[in-house]
Amino acid sequence: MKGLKVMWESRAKSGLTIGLLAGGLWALAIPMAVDDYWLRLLTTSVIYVVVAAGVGLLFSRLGIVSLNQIALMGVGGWIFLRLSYWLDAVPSMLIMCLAGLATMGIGVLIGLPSLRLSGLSLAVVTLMFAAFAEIVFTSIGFPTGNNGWRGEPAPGETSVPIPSPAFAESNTGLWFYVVITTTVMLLLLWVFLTGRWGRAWAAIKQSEPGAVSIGIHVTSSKVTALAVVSFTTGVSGALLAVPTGSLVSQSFSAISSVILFAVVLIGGAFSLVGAVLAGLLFVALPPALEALVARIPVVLELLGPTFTNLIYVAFGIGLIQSLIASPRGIAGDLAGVGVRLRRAQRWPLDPSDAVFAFIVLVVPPLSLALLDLSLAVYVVAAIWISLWLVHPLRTLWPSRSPRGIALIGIAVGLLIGALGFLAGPWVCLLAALLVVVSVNFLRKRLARRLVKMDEELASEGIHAQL
Amino acid sequence: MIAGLALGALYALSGVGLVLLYRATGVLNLAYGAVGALCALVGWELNQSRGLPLELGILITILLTVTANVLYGVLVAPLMAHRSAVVQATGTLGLALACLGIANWYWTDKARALRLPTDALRFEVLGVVISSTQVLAVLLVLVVAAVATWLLRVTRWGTNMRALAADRELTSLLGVSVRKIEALAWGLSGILAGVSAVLLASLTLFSAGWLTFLVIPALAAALVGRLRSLWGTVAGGITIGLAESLLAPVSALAQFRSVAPFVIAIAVTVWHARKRTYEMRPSA
Repeated sequence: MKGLKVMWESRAKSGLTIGLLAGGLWALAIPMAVDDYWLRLLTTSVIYVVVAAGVGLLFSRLGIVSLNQIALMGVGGWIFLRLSYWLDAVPSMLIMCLAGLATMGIGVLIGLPSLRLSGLSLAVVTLMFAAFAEIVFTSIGFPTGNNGWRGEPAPGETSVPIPSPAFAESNTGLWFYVVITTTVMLLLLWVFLTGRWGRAWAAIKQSEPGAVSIGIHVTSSKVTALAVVSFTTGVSGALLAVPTGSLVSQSFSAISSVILFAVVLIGGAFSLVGAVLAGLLFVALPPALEALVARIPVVLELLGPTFTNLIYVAFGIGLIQSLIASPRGIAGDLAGVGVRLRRAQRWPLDPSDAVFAFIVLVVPPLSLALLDLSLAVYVVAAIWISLWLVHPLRTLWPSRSPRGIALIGIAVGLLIGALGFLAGPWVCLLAALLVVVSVNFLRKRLARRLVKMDEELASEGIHAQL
Repeated sequence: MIAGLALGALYALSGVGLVLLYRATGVLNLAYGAVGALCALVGWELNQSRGLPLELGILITILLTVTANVLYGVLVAPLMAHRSAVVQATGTLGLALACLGIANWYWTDKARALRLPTDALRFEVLGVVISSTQVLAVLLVLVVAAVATWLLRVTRWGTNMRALAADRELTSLLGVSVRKIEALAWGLSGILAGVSAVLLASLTLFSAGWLTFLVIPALAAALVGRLRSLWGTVAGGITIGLAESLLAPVSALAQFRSVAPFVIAIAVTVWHARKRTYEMRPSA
């Protein structure tokens, strides 16, 4: 209890509050802003966010490379499908938890012997399990609502999908169902990460002999991590089966586990933002690129219809790059940009500040939810530009009152937003660029003049002294 | 049975390539199959559409695997040399993804046929038809394992390689040209990758995805040899190949026979984990 209280009062609390608030707002905004096809895709991405967070947790906190997470998802999905046929009176949430528990058992069984040997053998054995699971899934298939333990339609029978829960029938309902389950799973990971086990993991990461010396059981700590992650992975596999009541073995190939690992490292293994990015890269990037390239026939002709495979080349190079040069991935780089901006005093607000987080994270989804898509973009642009203007304007007119400066900033921002609304996106972009460049130019000139004045004053002072 | 023996010999050949590189540089190359597959596809393409003779195509394949391996070993691997063995192995996964991406983009994942001239040369022993490719595979693995053992144990290069895997910095302090030795190990492993890719493509299935994941039975073979013993790897590879071919007639299990390497590797791992007697270090 005391531990919980300390946890709640720690710095993690404000991060959690902001994260939940922003995540909730995004969750509300997205179904209103995108069409059905993209909503389904984003729903799938959200499911994979949990798996990505698990992979990231294992790698970043314990240095464990687990290459079978997608296969474990398949295991969870398989068990869920079969159990929901046998236990059709039980609520699906409960069956999901059961599937998660079963997956946990399997995940631990695979990991335990090799964990005692070395990290390398765990990586190799999990990769083998991924290949093994692919073979098994392709040959026995995923169960549908038919009899027998494999639940496969007998000759002459048609396959019956498992009915999905009533509230998950519409796309929007499914979205919220997935988002809520995902949030619960992420909270579970968070509780473990910030609690006693998380501290044990941190100690092990620092030094294994050191952890042993303060009484931490290394293998059981690692197995706990594997167990929690396998549980959440199994539940997300079950979640993947909810919309259609069936699964296909192609979704659980061995190579996809490897790809998931690559995108987690590219997105950033250390943070939730990284996991979200990884989910998006894994699920939504290939169709997004396809949609984009379909509009540009020249590129399509140049690359051929199988060009989405080239994404894997990028993922492969990205994996090596993030291993070597940016261990925190894109999410870490983004955080780094925030820190640099704060150092350079460009922004009037501290990026770790709640107000900043509110403006950057909350305003865009809010306007997306309340307004038309095109209008929302201009509103966001107007707000961001007025925010950006405050600091440079203050250096340009140091004598002006802060309120006056803020008013000028807001006026310019609104003007650019309105320009966009009236004259289209390109004019808006041009105007924004013009304002940013000219203000920066003026500021630099002013700064130079100030330096010169300083020097003159200083030399005068010296003369006066002489 | 004979097919299983030949297949097992090829797994063993790949396994020897993996163990050789691991013992010399401490990198477990998970891109072993993918690089071989991509280069074999290039060689095949040159043979089929450019009309190059097959022998030249195979030679080019092997040259390409050597080049690709050496490039990775010289340019990328040293950047990760101070990290743990898992991270270095994970880095090679990036190479595997990239190779597989290119292969699937240009050639798609369609299965192709690669006919070697040795396939046509068949003879009969005790009523069983044996192709000389199969004989070649078995002989090759024995020769390669013997040569590799000799190389690592006796020659100066081999001593340097083992020293390198044990401690990179210390070895460079002793005046060994670390980069050169690493490039050599990657190159040798590349030759084996190219040869085993061509032979596997001819004996089994010639598709990029399939060849990429043939690294798994090879890894299983290497695990049987504890990533250390070359002859243990050979034995492991042949056992796996035989297990796969012996399961084929049993109809209930026939579709699961590709699972054999996994089961054997898990069993061996559990056996080793029983007592925590050793760490899987590159050299001991």
